[in-house]
Amino acid sequence: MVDQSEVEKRGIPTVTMASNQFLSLAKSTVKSTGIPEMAFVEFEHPLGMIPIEEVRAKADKAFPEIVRMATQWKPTTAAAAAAKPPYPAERIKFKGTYASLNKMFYEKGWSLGLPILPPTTEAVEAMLKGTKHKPGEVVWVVPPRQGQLTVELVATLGAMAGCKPEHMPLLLTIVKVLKDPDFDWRGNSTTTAPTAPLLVINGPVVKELGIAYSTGALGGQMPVNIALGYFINLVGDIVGGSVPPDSDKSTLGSREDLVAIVVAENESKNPWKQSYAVEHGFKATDSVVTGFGAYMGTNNTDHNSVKGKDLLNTFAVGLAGASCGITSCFTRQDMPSTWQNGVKFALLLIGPEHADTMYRDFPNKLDVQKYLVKKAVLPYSGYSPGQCIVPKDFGPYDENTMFPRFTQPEQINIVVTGGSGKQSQIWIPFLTDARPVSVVMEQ
Amino acid sequence: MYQRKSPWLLWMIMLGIILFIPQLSIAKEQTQQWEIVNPSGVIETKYFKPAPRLTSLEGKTIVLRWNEKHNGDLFLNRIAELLQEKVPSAKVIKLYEIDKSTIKISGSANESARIAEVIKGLKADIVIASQAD
Repeated sequence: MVDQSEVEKRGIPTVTMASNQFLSLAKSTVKSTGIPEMAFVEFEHPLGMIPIEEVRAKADKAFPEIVRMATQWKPTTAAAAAAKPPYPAERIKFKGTYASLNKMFYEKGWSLGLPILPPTTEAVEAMLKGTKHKPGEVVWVVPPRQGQLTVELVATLGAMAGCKPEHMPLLLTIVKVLKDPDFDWRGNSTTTAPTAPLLVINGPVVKELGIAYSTGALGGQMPVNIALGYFINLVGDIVGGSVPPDSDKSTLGSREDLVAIVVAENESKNPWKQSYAVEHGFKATDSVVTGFGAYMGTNNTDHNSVKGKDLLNTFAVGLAGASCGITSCFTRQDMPSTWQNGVKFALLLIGPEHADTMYRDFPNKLDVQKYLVKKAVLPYSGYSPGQCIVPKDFGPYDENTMFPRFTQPEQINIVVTGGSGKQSQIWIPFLTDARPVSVVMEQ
Repeated sequence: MYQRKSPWLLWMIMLGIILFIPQLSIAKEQTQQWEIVNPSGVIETKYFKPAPRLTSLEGKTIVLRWNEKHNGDLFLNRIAELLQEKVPSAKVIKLYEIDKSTIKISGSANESARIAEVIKGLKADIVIASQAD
């Protein structure tokens, strides 16, 4: 919808077809771009995955309305409402119990349904002591609602999530990752897919703040990781307004929509020695946050492979099949994301024992990446129709011919994390995510 | 008689204790006065007027835009047929056939602006777009 909005801003009228299940999202998206109304023609959901005869019948039915909207529709809204300053945020007095305060927050759309810690003026002021940034600075205008996230609100939402004042620099760094255009926050937070942010943290801040990186790091009992992940989703739902069913269209959703994944690398257990951040050009003394919007991950539970190659073979199966249905063959990191170059990188969270097994046969991490690129293949029939474009010079093929998911080793991102055990995880990005976004934390 | 009254009294005391203990264990939450910060954030207010509207499609250049969502192109292909039949004086351009780089969910403001510039370059009088899903 942002595309049509940009067309309207150039003086060209548009008429957009949207199914009845997505019309509200389309309208709110347009509004968030500054255009209060646009011409829509609604048709009965769905349009995708139905036979051509039904598509044509829907077009026939919609056509008179398309012509009418193209030639007779007129916007009704005259002018924008007066702008309110984003700072200071409204202070509200409320008399009641902790439970009734939480109920009020949920009813106002100020929580996810989980309990929050009350963002009292004292709590927010304490949080603000953790940063030198001015509280009125707008650090992000969060789609799709286009809520203005000030430093004061970072402190507020951090307090609600259980963060501490010393977390403020990290929270502001996380915001920088999320707002990067390559992250595609709008797409991630409104899609029908169960995508949610996944953040990896490297550097001195890990130990300074006690961010978990060992046994059960992605699970419970990890208060800092949980507070940071909860903060992210509070920002998304409350300030960004990506809430089901109208704005967050996730068909099933996922628990990562409640508490996003935040994990640190277990740098001392990384047999290749170079951390993910250092491998990507940062200094070991930098504290770095790397993130992307992830489809739900899958697990590798290989207890038997002694050789690195055997282990990588089982990894390759999960890597090729992860996020099935939306992936493309022959993807390239250096080409734009499209449905024919979709889901073009992956992140492996490799348990230290699995990493040691790989290291025995692959002392160079790049060789692990190259091997996985070679082995992560699917038969042509494993790709959704139209999403695997076979190069013209490939030669003859049929539905059983194997095609690679990836073509470049840098598409395989490796982070060593977690504790003892024969377990690792494979995480795959949202279709349009361009790359994992890395940002150095301000000192 | 004395021996018969004693158990009765004991039972009454025990019953009282049993009923009283749960009241002690459920601490009543205190009502208090809170001053809290509204976390929702003020919506950024920008205002752009929608483009001037057309009153007729006769003789106009109509650009059909597909965002790559499944079947959207087939839907627009049928719209193109109907336009050519009902408004033969109109010039219908299937953007997705002449510039494949525009077949996408743009995913970023820059890319949306680029696609809009492509459409502007075609001297479009109106765009008919298929969205989702």
